Order: sequence, then structure tokens, then C-alpha cells
Amino acid sequence: MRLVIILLIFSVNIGYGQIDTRSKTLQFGEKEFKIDNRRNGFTLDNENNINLKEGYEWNVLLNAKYDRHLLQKLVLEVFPTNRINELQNKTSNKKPSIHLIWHINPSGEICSVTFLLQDSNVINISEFSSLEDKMKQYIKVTDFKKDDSFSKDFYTLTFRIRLSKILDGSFVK
Amino acid sequence: MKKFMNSQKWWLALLLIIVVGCQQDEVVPIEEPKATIRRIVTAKDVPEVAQTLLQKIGLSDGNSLFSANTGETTSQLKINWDQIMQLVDTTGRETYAFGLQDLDDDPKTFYNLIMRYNADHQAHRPYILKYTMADDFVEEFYATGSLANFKGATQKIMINRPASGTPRGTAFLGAGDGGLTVGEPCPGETSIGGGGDGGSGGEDSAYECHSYLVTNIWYSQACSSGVCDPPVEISRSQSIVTECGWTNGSTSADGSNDCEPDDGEIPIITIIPDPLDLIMGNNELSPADTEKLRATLNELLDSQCVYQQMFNHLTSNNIKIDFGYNPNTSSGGFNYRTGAIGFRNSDNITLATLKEELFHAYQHDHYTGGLGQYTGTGRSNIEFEAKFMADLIETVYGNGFCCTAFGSAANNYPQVVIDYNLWLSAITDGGSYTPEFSDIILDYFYWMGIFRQLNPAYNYPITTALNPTAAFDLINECN
Repeated sequence: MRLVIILLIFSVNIGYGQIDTRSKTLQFGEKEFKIDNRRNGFTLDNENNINLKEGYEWNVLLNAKYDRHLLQKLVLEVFPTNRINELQNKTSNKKPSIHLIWHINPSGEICSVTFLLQDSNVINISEFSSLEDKMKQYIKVTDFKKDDSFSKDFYTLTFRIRLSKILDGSFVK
Repeated sequence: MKKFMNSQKWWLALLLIIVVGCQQDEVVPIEEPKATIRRIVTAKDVPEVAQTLLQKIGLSDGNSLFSANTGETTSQLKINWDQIMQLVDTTGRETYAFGLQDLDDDPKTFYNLIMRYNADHQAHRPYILKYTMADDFVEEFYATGSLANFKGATQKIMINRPASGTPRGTAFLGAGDGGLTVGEPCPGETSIGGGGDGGSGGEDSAYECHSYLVTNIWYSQACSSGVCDPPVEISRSQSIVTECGWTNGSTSADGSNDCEPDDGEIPIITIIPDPLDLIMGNNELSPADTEKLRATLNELLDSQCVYQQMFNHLTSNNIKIDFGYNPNTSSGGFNYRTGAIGFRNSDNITLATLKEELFHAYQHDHYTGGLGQYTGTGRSNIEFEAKFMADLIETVYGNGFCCTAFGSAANNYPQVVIDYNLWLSAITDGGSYTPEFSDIILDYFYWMGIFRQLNPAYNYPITTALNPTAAFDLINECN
């Protein structure tokens, strides 16, 4: 019984503790998150996403439309007010943000989310996992060009979500 | 006798009643003094005034364009029928100030068309008041829209049109909008702002007035059935004349006194020109695309400070840009030889394209010698600077959409987008501030090298002697 409790506490610590930023694969439930060190930070990817296989290529979108109210709602489900306040206090610049890349299929569905992190990031792995699930399930991207200059089947849209803007509602303006 | 005395008393009483009654009849009630009325009206509210004005200028119904001889130049002007300042003074005299849009788009001037009536509602000759803002007031005016601290000068331009239908001293020009030319400029100028920067025109017989402007702001709110529209801010300016006289004691050239300032208050109405009209030279875009560009430019000016500064720099230096199409570009291009921006097609009239091409126009003015010197070595610098600034500003002030520097080029090198994003995030501390160029100089040229490799069209030699001062001057102005 003690062993079960210890294992349970250990697994909770993995989920809610700070992320070890060394390049490696991190098991979280059924997901395997790949942590990749980069020149100015690191990336976090769910390796189970099929479109991140070797040779996968995409067209970079500079803009596209999506439901910002819905995204605000989803983010607030993962990061309630008190959690955002907590992050603001913990973040050195008091402006916690989530920098990410949406990988989008031709129908506008989000297939995968790559999170871009700096060392100072204090968001934990369970929050990334939950946010990825919600984005993939509910968000649909529209109005992105598919003319001759786009030669690949997949698209990416890179942007940052500033949590304080989500909280005060200015994100949806 | 007693009866007589009683009778006398009755007669006396009757006489007193009559006298008092007569005195009461002669009491003239004192009228409440009429308040001065100032309000914004439209031509539909005052159709007779609009009609009289058209007749006196010589314009046909429905027309609003004409040209005015303002002395040294002829300005194309368009009457704004939707915003007319009506002033009714305490004696019942009406004065109307019609806003005139200056189609020649000199950002330092604006015009009013003044129409005055006497107390018997007889119309005087209309005239134009040309307001020329002093250099140090122009920026404040466009930032606030207020004339409260006006500095500059005014000039009165009489509209002369005898009954024959031909304006005196002027001519009807040929076809086209604004073909009618009217106006006989008064000698000299009327200095405004206590004789500050505005001066006389240097004429020998200048009639000069010293005056100042007073601006009041009030709010109007329309309500119906208890439901009210949002309050609308209305500002009113008036010219208070303090002292007038001929500078050399002579009279005006034709002996008339039309050029003397009117007594009393002159209402002023200002039209802040549409930003596109301020910067546009020739226009070859379709009407629909022109409106699309107008909306895109307004969107740009509503975005970040650096783009507002960039636009202010271009317009305050009276730089005009021709707009049209250029199918040979990927989305758009700025031609430094002609000063023209060409869009590939209608779909490419976008915020991103306009930001970049206007920035190139700004670079052309910013770098001594212009962009012509960077068609070979340095071209990568020029192109990367424009894209880097857009990405940096987006990271700090926008939603971090990325990346104009590595858009389609990064499709074959997807990890570049990630690394470039992380770099932008790192140098801005997660998008919380804009860095000094000296702090990022090494990485800046590193990424310029990557940019050059991945964009064959911009694969030109880099010069480290060309730092991105155009971008960082704008950034520093906004910090």
C-alpha cells in the first residue's frame, strides 16, 4: 500500500513539477513528449502525433483566422485566474506567455502543437498536454491561402498566447 | 358737500386705476437674451444655405468640387456637406463654416468655406479661410485633432462671382471634377497665435489681424424612448480677433473692404484628411482596391507605434507614394526610382505587404543616398531589416505571428522557424521589451546570413557597415 502511494506521489510530481529541459523523451500518461534543446531554448512535442514523422514538411502561414473567443475559453480552462496570477508572480518579466506552433492539415484541423519554451518557463507538462488536447479537439483554422506558392500538404502557424491578455479579455479584441 | 367729496374720492380712485392701468400697459417685458447657438449640421438640415452657397460659388447642384486660387497655387477643394458648423449669434445673424477637403493633401493646411448672413437673413459673399499650421503644430494637430494650441496663419480668399456667372478675375477650366476655379486671395495673411510662427505674406498692403483660437469640447447624445446612443464628442473652435489694421496704412488693392476680417466670431470646422489621401500620389488601383488599401492603411495606423511613427515621418516630409499593380513581385514592391508601391494583385493588398513596402519607402528616405546604392551589396541588409522589424514588433506588441523573414523560404527548413522564434523570444525576454541593437548585433547578422541563404531572391552580399538604424530609430522613438 505504501509503495502504491509513493508511486502515485511520484507520478503526480512528474505531471506538475517543472520540466527537465535536457533533450529527452518524457512519458506523460499515454503521451511521449520529446524535449529538444535549441539554440535559445527548447521545444516540446507530443511524439505520438503522426505528422511529426521524419520528412514531414509544411508551409508557413503568416496569418489565419480562428475563433479567439473559443481559444480564450480553452486556455482559461487549463489556466484558471489564480494559476495565471501565480505564473505572473513566478515569471521574471511578469508576462507569462505560451509560444507555440500549430500544425494544421488542409481542412484547418490542428494535428499537433509544438511548444516553444525558454529556460525560465514555469508551465508544467500536464498543462501543455491538456492545452494540446483541447486545441486539437475544438479549434479549427480557416482563411489560409492555398495558392500556387503553397506546395506542401500541411501548414504551420506560429504565435504566442500572452496569459495576462487572456485573463483581461484583451486577447479577443 | 360731503356727497361731493365722496364723489370726488371715487373719481380720484377711478383716475388712479386708469393711470396705473395705463402705466402697466406701457411696461415692456424684458426679453431674455438669446444664447449663441453653435452646432454641427448637414446640408440636409440647411438646404437653403447649401443652395445659396452653390449659386454664389457657381457650382451646379450635387457638385462639391472646385479649385481655389490661393495666390501662389491653385488648390483642389471638396465641400464636406455632412459637417457644417452653424453659428447663430445673439442678434440672430447666422454664420456657416463648411469643411473643405484639400485634395492636394498638404498636411499643413486646411480650409473652411465661410458663409455669413446678416440679421435680415441676406447672404454675404462667401469666402475661403485658409489655415496654415506652423511646423511645430502640425504633429500635435494630427495626434490630438485639436486646435487648442494652434500656431500658424490664416488667409482670406474671397469668392468673386458676378451675376454673369463667371467668377471675377478667374476662369472656368475645362472638363473634370473641380474644373471650376474661384478665388481672389486677399493680400497678406492674418496671423494667428499671437503673432507666433505665422507671419504676413510680405505684401505691401497687408491687412493683418492678431487673433487667437479658443476650442471648446462638448458632448451630444441622441436619445429615443429612453434608449440613448453613445455620446458624440463635438469640438468647436472660434477665432477671437484682438487687433486689426493695414501694416502700411494703405487700403486694399481694389479699394474694397472685403478682405477686412468680419466682426464677431468665425466658426471653424476641421477635417483631418484621410491618411491615404495624405500619402497617395498617383493612383492606378481600382476603386475597390483603393478602398481596400485605405482600410489596410487605417489598420496599420491602428497597430503599433513604430508604424505610426513611420507614417508620420513620410507624411510630415511630404513624401508621396504612387500606388498601382506590379505582377512581377511576389506580393508587392517599392520602386525607389519612381517612389511607387505596386501590389501583385488585389489579394496582396494586405497589412503585412503594406507594412513592408511602406517601410522600404521610409528606408529610402532614411538612408542618405537612398536605396539605389543597395541594389547589390547591402540589399540583403535592407530586406532583412524590414522583415526583422516586422517580426520583432509582432513578438513584442502583437501576437507573435511569425515569421516574415522566414515565410515560404522556411518551408524546406522548418526548424529555422522554431529557432528564429526562440531567438526572438530570447532577445525580448518572452516578448516583454525591445532590445538595443548593440545587444543583438552578432545574432542579427547571423540570422541575416540564414535569411540570405534561404531566400535566393535576396542572396546578395551583406555589408556589416549598414546597421538597421531605420528600424531602431523608429523603435527607440516608441520606447
